Amino acid sequence: MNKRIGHIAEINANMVTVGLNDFVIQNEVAYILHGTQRLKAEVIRVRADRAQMQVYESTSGLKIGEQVEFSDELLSVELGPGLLGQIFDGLQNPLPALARQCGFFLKRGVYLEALSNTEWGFTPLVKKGEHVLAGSKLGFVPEKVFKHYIMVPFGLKGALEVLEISAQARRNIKEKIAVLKDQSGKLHDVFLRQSWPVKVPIQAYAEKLKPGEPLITKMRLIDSLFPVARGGTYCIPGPFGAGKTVLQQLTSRHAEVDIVIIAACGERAGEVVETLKSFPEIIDPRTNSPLIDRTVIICNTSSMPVAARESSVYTAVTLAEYYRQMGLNVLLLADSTSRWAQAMREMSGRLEEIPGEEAFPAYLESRIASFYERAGLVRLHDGSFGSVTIGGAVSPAGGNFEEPVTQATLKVVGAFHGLSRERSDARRYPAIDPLISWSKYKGFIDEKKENDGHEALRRSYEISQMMKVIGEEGTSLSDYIEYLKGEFFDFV
Amino acid sequence: MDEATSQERQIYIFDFIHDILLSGFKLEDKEKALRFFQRLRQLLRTWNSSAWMSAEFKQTEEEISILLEENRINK
Repeated sequence: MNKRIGHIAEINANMVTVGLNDFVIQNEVAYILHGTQRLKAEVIRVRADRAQMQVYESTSGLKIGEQVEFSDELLSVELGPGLLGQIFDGLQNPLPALARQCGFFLKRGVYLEALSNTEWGFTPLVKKGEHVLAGSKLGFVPEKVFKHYIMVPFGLKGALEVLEISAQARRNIKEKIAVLKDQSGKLHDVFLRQSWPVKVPIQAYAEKLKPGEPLITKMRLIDSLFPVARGGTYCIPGPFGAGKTVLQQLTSRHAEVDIVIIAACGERAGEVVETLKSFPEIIDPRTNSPLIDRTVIICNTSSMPVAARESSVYTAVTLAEYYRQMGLNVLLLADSTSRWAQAMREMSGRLEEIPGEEAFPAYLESRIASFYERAGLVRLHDGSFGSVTIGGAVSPAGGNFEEPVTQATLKVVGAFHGLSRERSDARRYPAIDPLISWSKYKGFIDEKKENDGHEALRRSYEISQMMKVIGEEGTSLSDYIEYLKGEFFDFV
Repeated sequence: MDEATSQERQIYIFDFIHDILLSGFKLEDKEKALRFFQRLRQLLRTWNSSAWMSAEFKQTEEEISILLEENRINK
C-alpha cells in the first residue's frame, strides 16, 4: 500500500504544518524526508487539509515543500524481553547503541530498534486448545532475576483460542511463538515482543483496585508521616537545589518494589549521569544483583529535543504498565514533570491556543491527571496483582507552590512531599517540610501515634512563632518543653 | 540511616520516640530543658547510626532509657 505523502507548508521551530490531500490520524507518527534523513514527528492537530506536527528532532535546515511520509501508526513502544537494564531516549532508542553508532553527539534522524535480536529461552505456560484473554500469560523467558512473561497482545478483544504454541526452545524476538484465533475466526501471530501506543493506557486486567498497602520507601520521614501506597501517586515539588533528584534516586535504590522506571524529563544531564554511573555498582540487597538489572531509564535531558519530553513520560508509564501486567510492583519516578509542562506550554504557544494561567495550556490539568491516573493497583485475569506507583518531581519557579503545574498535580496525587529551601539550607535531609506535606494513604505506623507526631510538630511550630514575638523569656517552661519536643522529633 | 531504614526498625524507633513525646519531664528551668533535649538528640544520632540490634544499638538504647528515666515525671 502506498504511503500517504504530504508537504511542509510552514515551519515554526519544532512545529511543522503539513499540507495533505488525504486523511490524517490524530497522534499519527510521520517522517519528514530531509535529504537522506527521516525526522520523526507526531500529529498534534488536524485542520481541514493541514496537519500540525511536533517534531522530535531539531528542524534546522528544513524547507517548505519537503515531503512528509505518514506511517498509519501511533507513537508506540516495543515491549518485550531486553528492556531491563537499558537506557533509552524519549523515543525508546537505546542510547548506548546510539552512542556507539553516532559518537558523543547524537545525530538527528537516527532511530534504532529498542530490543536487540537476542535469543531467549522460552517456556510455554498454555497448551493448544486453551482459551486466553488479552494480557494472559502464554509463556515466559528468564530475564535477569525475573520471569519475563510473554502475554497475549493487549489490543486483542474477547476470548482467543490457542491454535499453536511454541515448545520450550530458544527464540528470538522476531520468531512467532504462538498463533491465536479470535471469536471472528481471525488468526493472530504472537511474538516475544509486542508494540503498544504510548498514549493509550494498557487495560488488560480484570479490575482496578483502591491502593491500600503501603509502599515502603525505607525513608523514615516518608514511611512514617507521609506514606505512599503501592499503586498510588505522590509528588515532590521543591525549589532549585532542595534535593528532589537526590530524594528520587534514594527512593529508586531502596524502595521495596520489583521494577523501577526512571523518566529523566528535561533535567540536567549531570544528574542522569550520576544515576547511570552509580546503579551498575550498587547491589540490590533483595536480589543480590546490580540495581540496574531491575531498572529502566528513559533519558530526555534538557539539551535534547523539547518535544521528546512528552514522549519520555508516556514511554515510561507504558513500560511501567507492561511490567504491571506481569504481576510485578513497579515504581515510576518522573523528574521532572514541570519540564514536560513547559514543553506543552511551548507547543501550545506555537499552536496559538488561548493560554491558561502563566501561559500554560488550558488542558494542563487534564493532561497531568491522565498521566497520574495510569498508576494503580490491578487484579489480573489469573488472580495475581500488579501495581504502578508514580512519583513525580515538580520544579516550580522560585519554589512557589501556587503555580499551575504544582496545583494541577496536587489535585490528583495521593501524597505531597513538599521540599523546603530553609530545610535544605540547614542540611536537614530529606528537606521535606512536615508542616505543609500530607498523605491520604495509611502507613504502617499506628494512626494515632502518627497523628500525635504531626501534632507535636504543629504545636512546636506555633510556639516558635509565638517566641518570635514574645521571646524565649516570655514563653512558659511547659510551652518551651513542647517546643523542644517538636524540634527533637523533627531532628531525629 | 535515613536512606534505608527497614520497616521493623522504623516502627521500633517511632514507638520509642512517641513515648518521649507523650512523657512529662521534671526539668526545672529552660536551660536544663535545652541541655536535656540536646543530650537526647546526640544519643539518638548515635543510635540512628548503629546497626539494627547490634551491641552498640542496645547499649545506646540503654543510655537513652536511663537519661529518660532520670528526668521523666510520668508516661
